[in-house]
Amino acid sequence: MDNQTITPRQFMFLVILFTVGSSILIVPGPLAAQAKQDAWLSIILSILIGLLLILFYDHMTKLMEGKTFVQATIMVFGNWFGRFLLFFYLSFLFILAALVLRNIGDFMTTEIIPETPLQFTHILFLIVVIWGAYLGLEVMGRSAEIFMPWVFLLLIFFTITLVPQIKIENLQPFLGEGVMPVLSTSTLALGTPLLEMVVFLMILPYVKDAQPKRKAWVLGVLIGGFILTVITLLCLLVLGSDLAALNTFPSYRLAQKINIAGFLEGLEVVIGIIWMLTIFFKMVVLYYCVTVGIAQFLTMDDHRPLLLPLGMGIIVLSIIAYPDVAYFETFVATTWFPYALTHGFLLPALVWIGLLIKKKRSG
Amino acid sequence: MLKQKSNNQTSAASKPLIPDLEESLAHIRSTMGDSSDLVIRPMVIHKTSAAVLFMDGLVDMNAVQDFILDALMHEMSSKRVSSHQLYLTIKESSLPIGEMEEIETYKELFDKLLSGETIVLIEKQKKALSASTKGWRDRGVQETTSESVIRGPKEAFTETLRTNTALLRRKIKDPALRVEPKKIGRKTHTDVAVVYLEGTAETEVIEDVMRRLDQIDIDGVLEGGYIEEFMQDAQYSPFPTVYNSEKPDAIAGGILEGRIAIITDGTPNVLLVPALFVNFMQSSEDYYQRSDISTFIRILRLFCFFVALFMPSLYIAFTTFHQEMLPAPLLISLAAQREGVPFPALVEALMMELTFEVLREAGIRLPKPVGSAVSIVGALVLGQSAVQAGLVSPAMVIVVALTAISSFVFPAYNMAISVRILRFPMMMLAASFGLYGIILGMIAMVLHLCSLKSFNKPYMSPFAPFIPKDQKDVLVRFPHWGLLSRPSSLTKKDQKRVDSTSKER
Amino acid sequence: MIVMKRGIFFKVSAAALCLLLLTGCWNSKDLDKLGIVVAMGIDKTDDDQYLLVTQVINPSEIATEAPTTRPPVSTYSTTGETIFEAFRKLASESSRDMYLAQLRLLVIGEDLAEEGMMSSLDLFYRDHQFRTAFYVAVARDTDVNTLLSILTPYEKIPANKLMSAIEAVEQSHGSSKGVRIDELISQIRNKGQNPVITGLLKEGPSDTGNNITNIENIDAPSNLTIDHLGVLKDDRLVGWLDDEASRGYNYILGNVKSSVVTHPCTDGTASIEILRTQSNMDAVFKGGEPSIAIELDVEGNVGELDCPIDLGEADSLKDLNKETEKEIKRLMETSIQISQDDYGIDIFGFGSVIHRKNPKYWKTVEDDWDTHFKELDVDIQVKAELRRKGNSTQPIKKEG
Repeated sequence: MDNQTITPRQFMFLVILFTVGSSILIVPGPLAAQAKQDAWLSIILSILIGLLLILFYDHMTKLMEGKTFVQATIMVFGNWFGRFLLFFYLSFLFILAALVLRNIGDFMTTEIIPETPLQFTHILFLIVVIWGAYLGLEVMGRSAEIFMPWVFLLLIFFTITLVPQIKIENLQPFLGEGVMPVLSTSTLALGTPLLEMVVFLMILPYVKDAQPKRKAWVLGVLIGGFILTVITLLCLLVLGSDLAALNTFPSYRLAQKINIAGFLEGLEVVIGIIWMLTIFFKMVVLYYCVTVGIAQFLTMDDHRPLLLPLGMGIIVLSIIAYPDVAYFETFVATTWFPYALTHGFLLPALVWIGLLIKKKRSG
Repeated sequence: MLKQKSNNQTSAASKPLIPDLEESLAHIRSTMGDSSDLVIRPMVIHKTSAAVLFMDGLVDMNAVQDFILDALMHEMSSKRVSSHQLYLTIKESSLPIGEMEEIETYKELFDKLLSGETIVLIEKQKKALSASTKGWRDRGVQETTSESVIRGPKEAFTETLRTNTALLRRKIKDPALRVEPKKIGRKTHTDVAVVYLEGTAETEVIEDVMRRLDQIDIDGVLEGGYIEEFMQDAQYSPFPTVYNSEKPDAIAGGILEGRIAIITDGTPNVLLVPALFVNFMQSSEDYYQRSDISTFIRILRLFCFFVALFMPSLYIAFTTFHQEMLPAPLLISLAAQREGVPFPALVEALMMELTFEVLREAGIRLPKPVGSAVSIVGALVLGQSAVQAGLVSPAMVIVVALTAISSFVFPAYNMAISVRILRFPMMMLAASFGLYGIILGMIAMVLHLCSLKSFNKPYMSPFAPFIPKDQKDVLVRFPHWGLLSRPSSLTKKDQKRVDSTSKER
Repeated sequence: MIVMKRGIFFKVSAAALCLLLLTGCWNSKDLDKLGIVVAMGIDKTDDDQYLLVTQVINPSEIATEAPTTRPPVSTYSTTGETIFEAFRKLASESSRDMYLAQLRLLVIGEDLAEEGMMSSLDLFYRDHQFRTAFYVAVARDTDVNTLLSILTPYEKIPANKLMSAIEAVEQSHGSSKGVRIDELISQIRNKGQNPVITGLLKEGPSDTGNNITNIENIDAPSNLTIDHLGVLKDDRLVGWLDDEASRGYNYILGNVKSSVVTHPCTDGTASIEILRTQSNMDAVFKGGEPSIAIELDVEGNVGELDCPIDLGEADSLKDLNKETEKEIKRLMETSIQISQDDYGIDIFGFGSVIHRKNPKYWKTVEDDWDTHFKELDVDIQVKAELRRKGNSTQPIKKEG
């Protein structure tokens, strides 16, 4: 931890990329399956709930006084109980990182390079992630700044080229199934990516300037949420809720529909690039935080020696994490939200209460 | 006057001068090993023996003849004086030479002697005089050969340090322009000058440059490249972090931006630090053409950067992995072209790219008239007949040619080279993973670029970290009246450049 | 620090290098090893196996300056328990890897279509190589094998010819309509709308089409034509709409971009060139019972006039307007009548309209929609506007 800092703007970009990364692949399908044509409503709803969560996290950062979540927990609960809690927190991040890696692997081997073994897809990706985590937070923030304009440009291009294929009827009837499906599926988008934002508790102390920090975070989530909403809307508007639910990766299938003057076709690979970029940043943020967290957990000075050994672990975990795609779909739909809620909200809430008590006692 | 600052601590060499002239000359002769270009002219001035020493070929013979030998042998007043008196007279009034110094040790003596000064030794004196009579044949200020421009000054630096500093002085007539001397190289004693604008360049950067120059310990420096490799930040990076140019206007422009130039004697290539990624994409001509033209050309260069870096790998990825990216008619015609080509696309691409590199290298090395013959052989014979023989597909030739031309667009040759090198790993990645590999390679490259620093300035600024104020002179070049401040990614001092009210409305 | 950096740097690059050397290229396929598939046909054989006909192009024959006598496309036919199995059996027939992303057309045999096509479409939507931009059509009165073996004049690739013909018919006549795979699947799965499908017909004697001599004649004896629309109940082909009903169908759904309407006028006929149509479908609930209101706005020009009317009068264009409206309305009514009375299948998506308008009511009729559809009232309003007369201000045929 060589006191690298990032600017609020870089932080915001990381938040945007984190919000979009991997959720863009796995959220629209199940959402459309359950909430049908109102899936976009549940994303908006979950983003709104997510904003409250962000405010809570932000308040926590203030209480942590420049310490990372790991350091703060150890400070509040002492060496043993604190580490006991952190074991769960860090394992959550680690498993999440493995799942995100598997997401990109699944995506690549389903749509783009199906005959390449999963392991090699993962290894190549992880090498770059390790390289990023090795270079540190500052470099991550800066590269986010480099890639952000490209992601935005490609997204705008993507949206504009799909506009002619939009069929408004696909969104009707509005709330045809009632409000319940919308409410119940909003947990899905809440689990991915909003509760996963808990990872930023490890990064926030390294963001310069206390004041714009919260603004950057809220704005980042809003923009990321907006992108998610737009993509989900496009899936519904162009494919219809039925086909969106039928597809493994609706947002990718969406890109196959792009056809500019009968000449520019097959742009879906370009769209695959955006997804790869966003997932890369999600992965590198997660991986950096896991290693930094474990390094602080073990009171090591430097997280870098951990990068390679943990990387091997993550490769293995990502392969054995789930046997097949169907298992993962059920996992995302049913198990993930309670799991993320426990580690993304209840655990931090516990630490938050501890911090409050400690603050009262000391001052 | 040059201030001597020794950077090698061999105390044996700093032996004081021997007062006895004969003995002293003997010492000098033995140290120099009777070199044939050492001229020792013994003489007697009013019964006091003296000697004039200089290196033949390094001195301006006219100056030695007219202002030293003539003055000493003909115009000395005929009064007989003591040896010390004589020494003082010569030092203060007899030698009509601009630059003159006293020397006390043999180390200094050899330094001066070997850099072309004339030494006057006088019997029984512990000091000697050194008169600056440097003058040797150089090729004079000529037109630049490696960085041609359409509009703007055509002159280039020469191999002579003094000429080069003069060229800079002529551009920036400000008393704050500092020229700090250094000598680097245990054997070559190469003169190096650090040139910057006091008050504009950041003090920390100047100190950093000085520190890095001082710690260089090498036997010889023959070109700025030696110094560059010692002082660059990224030792293991394909990307250059030190800029070089042989155009005085480019260097002067850099100095005005608060950067620091390092002139090495013996080479027309002057180094400029800190150097950011964007600096390698810019040419001094950008500031002479109108701003809209320059903006267009800068964006074109960026585009060419991507073409030069990714074109062959994209070709491999598209034709072997992602055929669906190709429109149907193109796909069919490419497929038809590839019928009968015996190599896979990767081998085909590698072969052609290597051939191109060989041709390029051969074109540079060969004498000019033969060089054009090589390009004809390369273009016609290799390209045309390789296609006709069915060894490569015509599309591949187009790709390679396009890549090659794009890589020549960069004003900075060292950036072009690194792009050409990086192309090969990209092609490997493309051949094994398709676009997935290319994108990961690109991410890794960007991560690496973002981690680079040049003299503590982030290499990718003003993109990352993003500095809105500096965007006026990166991809877009504002008109000169809009370039209100110096790029803050290079210096934070003395920001104001232009008074915005000074333009005609 | 620097020492360590170097260590990692070398380790990582060494690892990357090993990886690269080890990986080889799993997915990499050189272009000259690919067989570019442009059309596929599926049908059932007599022993209940799937028959797969694949039309592969011969790139060097298409992109060449000196054509030889080899045909520009070749077809392979294989059979198998499933389509995928049949597809993999292709390897034994063709030396090349089949490349499917350029697929233009999927032709389904009439027998298979009547039996139900959904199960055979799965592969075409699942496999990553297929893109969603290809048309699905039914081979009418002919088997897929002969249909895909016909060489077409002018356009070297028959599949391309068919695709552009489908698009041309859809856009300039309106008597048929191209159906893409995702549209078809989504309509089959939709309870509120039953799909239609393009019909393909072969003209001319059956034994001449697959010979290169076919295209050496100025008027190729065998040719491929697009024929009207097939009506599907769920995924089974139940019948065909004729020319008028097909056009009516396209008017109702607003698919017509350009067409021609011919109607009689005094002593002759008038043809109106349709330039734009805009259709609007809405469900109206009266006393809990739904009815459908269709409004169609048509914009057109006078195309051909073979009757002596005075175009200089303002009313004459209005008359033409009325006649056009009447004719289009008749087409639309025919279409609705045929689907209501003959087939009893909602191909217009009236069910979806009702679903969107009133999801609660829809829930009650959803499973039994086709019977409700038969009794559904449809109100059609056509509004035509002829704007220009073309180059002639009057018919060249003089009055009297």
